[in-house]
Amino acid sequence: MRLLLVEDDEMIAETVLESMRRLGYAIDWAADGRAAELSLANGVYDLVLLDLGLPKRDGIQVLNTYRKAGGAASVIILTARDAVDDRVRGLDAGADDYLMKPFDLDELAARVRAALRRRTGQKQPIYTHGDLTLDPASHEARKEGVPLPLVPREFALLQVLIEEPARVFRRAELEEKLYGWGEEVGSNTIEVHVHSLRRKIGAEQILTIRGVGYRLKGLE
Amino acid sequence: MTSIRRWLLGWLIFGLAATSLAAGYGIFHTARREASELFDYELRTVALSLPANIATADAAERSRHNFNGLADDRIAIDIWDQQGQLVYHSVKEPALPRYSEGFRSIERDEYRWRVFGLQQPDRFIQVAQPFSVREDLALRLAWRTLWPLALLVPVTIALVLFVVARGLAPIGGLSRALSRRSIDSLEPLQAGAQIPVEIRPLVDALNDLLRRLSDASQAQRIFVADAAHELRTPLTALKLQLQAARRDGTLQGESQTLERMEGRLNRIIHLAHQLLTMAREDANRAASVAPMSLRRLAERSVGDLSLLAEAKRIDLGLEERIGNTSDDYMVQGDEQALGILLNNLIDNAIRHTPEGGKVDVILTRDPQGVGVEVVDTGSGIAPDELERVFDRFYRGVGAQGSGSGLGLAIASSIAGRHGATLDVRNRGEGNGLIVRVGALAPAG
Repeated sequence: MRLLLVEDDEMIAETVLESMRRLGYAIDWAADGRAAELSLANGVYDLVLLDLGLPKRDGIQVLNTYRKAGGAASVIILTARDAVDDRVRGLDAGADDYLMKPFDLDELAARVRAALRRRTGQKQPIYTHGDLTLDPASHEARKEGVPLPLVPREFALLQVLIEEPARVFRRAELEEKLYGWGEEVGSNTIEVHVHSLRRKIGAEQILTIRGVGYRLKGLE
Repeated sequence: MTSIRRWLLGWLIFGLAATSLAAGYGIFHTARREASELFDYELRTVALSLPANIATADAAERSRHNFNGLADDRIAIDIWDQQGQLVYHSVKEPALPRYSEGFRSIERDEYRWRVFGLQQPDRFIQVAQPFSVREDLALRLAWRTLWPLALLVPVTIALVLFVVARGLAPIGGLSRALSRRSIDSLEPLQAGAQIPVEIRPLVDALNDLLRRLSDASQAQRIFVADAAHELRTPLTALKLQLQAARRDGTLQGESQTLERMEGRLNRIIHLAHQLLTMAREDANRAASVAPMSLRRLAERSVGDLSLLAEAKRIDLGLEERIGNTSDDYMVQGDEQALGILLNNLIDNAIRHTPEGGKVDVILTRDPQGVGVEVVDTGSGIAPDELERVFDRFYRGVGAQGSGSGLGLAIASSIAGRHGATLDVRNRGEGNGLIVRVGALAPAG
């Protein structure tokens, strides 16, 4: 796996390079837009971490040129620009993900992992959240390595929650995800599933956000 | 307070009334004098035109004619012959004594008379008329000359009122246009073609001032935005470096100290972020509004901030004043801005609520519109500080945590842009604060 970091700030670049190398990635550095285009022309990269505010050539331009030339690497934009239309512009230009400065190293590592996973076609990863693991391929969920006896709906519910652990799901959203079109859903069906899932994985694992819905407990 | 309108009206109407009075007085007296001269002339004509044989021939006719016209005017005629004998006397009253030739005014039996004597070759004629009759007629005449003037006065006053109102209309329009503007509006005044040349310099000067003010505040916003933006990159670098150094062990130290350093750093990052939001919100006064669900927005904000609440073991939840889960609380709003507003309010509430407390986000609907309240169980705000909470960079005396002092200022600006109300009050019962956004325009 070969990564390219396009970033004009030396301090940020150094830290990101070092952290990524520590995580076992091979990573190169381009400090401006021109250098980035030259490096990208090699076509050896699997993933590009791209800053938008670059000297010589704007990040969006670099990305546009790269995609037009058929460049296929995953691109994660790193930027201090946080206005929604900037974000949209970046994604429109062909970025795969967007990370706002200031970001956490952990988050960067997670996004890089996710982007590379998508790239290698590993559609169904094994999800972990705290002491919970869920493997969609084998339909197995474990807590502290011990398999959990989940019925299909409970498994599906846990999968929805663990795929986006920081997100709060509304009851209606969970109904949509767990039940097909035209299936009869009782008014408290989701509550019943949550209740039984809590009994099996531990009540503290799923938080009720009053008036909104459910999510997995935060990791801290 | 001076008023051009009152001044103009006062002086014009007062002046007009005074001149009219003087003119009326003058006309009245002239008319009277003219009438008097006219009567003298009449007397003289009567005396001259008396037939020579009036005494002898017309004694009989007199009873028939009785000098009808003259009698009405009460003209007394006396005629003496050459010997000084009174040969003719027209009215029943005793004859006047004989006076010399010419006009004179005399008084007799409480009546004042105007007398004209005329010496003819064979007789002396004296005609007399009481002043009372003359006065009556003269007065009537004089009054009749006055009435067009009396009619003119109200018409002129109406004209003055109309002209003054029309003349001052552009000034009134200008001040109305000024008072209708929002406080923060720095748009130039609409200088239409109908602005008169007299106040155009005023409008131009005002517009010039507004433009310079607008440029200055624009420059300030750009500076703040740039500064905040420029701060982000080094802050990111600092944060990454701190994290990396802690992880690989190159930064040694008590973990509590390191954590505190990271906390402080996060606070600076938060401040830079809020500054940028503020500058952007200031610049964004005319962003488009569209129908949106306040419930969905509140769900998202509560969801986003539930991690922060969980970390402080705070029970954060979404409620509604009137339980109706099918109501989406549709409003006309700028979704992104209202999201920032709500996040700021909830974030503030969580920051100021001690561990184990409770924060409620409550959707409301009342005749004024749709609203949302954020109620916490924190320490509230001292009453004398309540007014200052919307000031930029204001942080409460006992403020803890990582607030920037900009959250409520940003919220207030966003609420203002939506024509919504934003008020902060302490909870009546127990501890805590209620921040209420009200009167959002409902949609759909």
